[in-house]
Amino acid sequence: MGNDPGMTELRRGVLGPCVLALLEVRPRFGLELVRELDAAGGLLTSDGTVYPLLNRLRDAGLVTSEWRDAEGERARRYYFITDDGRKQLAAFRADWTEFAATVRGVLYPVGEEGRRQ
Amino acid sequence: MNETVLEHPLVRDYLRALDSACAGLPAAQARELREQIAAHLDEALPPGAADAEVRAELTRPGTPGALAAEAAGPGSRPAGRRLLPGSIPPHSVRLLRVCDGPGGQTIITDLSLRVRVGIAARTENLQPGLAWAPQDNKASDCGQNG
Repeated sequence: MGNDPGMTELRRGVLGPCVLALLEVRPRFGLELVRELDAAGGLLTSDGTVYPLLNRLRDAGLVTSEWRDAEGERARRYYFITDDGRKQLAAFRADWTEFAATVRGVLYPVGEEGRRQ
Repeated sequence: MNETVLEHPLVRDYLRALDSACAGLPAAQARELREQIAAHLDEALPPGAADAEVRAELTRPGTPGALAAEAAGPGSRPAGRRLLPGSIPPHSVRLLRVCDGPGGQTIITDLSLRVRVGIAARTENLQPGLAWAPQDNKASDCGQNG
């Protein structure tokens, strides 16, 4: 995916909901989140941006964090989605579906000129 | 072999640069980000990682400056321009000029605040009753945050 300013802004806008969606499945620790967002492809400008974002989501009450010390493993800070986070994610899913359809309709018009690729 | 990769000189340099870059952020925010990045690197790299491996991993979180800017939030100005007298990064140098101004005022001119790049200058006008003394940390904060 490109690195022009428009794409960077788009990524910035969707990264929060993507983090919430991963945390909705189950709590995760920092590196785990970063690796999964990396694996999804093209979502991260750099790995580190996930952390300031997590802190902003936490300040907004959408995410909480807690240290967990599982036996035989290192202590890790895990991130959890809150009820407000779930509500926000559900709202974004609805918005996104509508928004993506709108953009698609403008980008790939079907009309007098016929269907474009 | 080091017990944790956080003792690797390249990682220490990176974290030190992150501290400097975050000097303009609220202390708790800077501490939290440092803890997160340190934990990330500690987990991403094995304790005895080779220099090349460490160097490659250190390109992934982004530069300390970019991280600090991200933490400061969208629309924030570059860290160097957000500095206030109360948030001077370590190893920076300040030069003050103190002289009598009109009407019995004492004028303190902050000649320079050298912070790695650039020089900032500001002027403080103090009322006669407010003595400024170099030993008094509160007063030497030029009033704004002290």
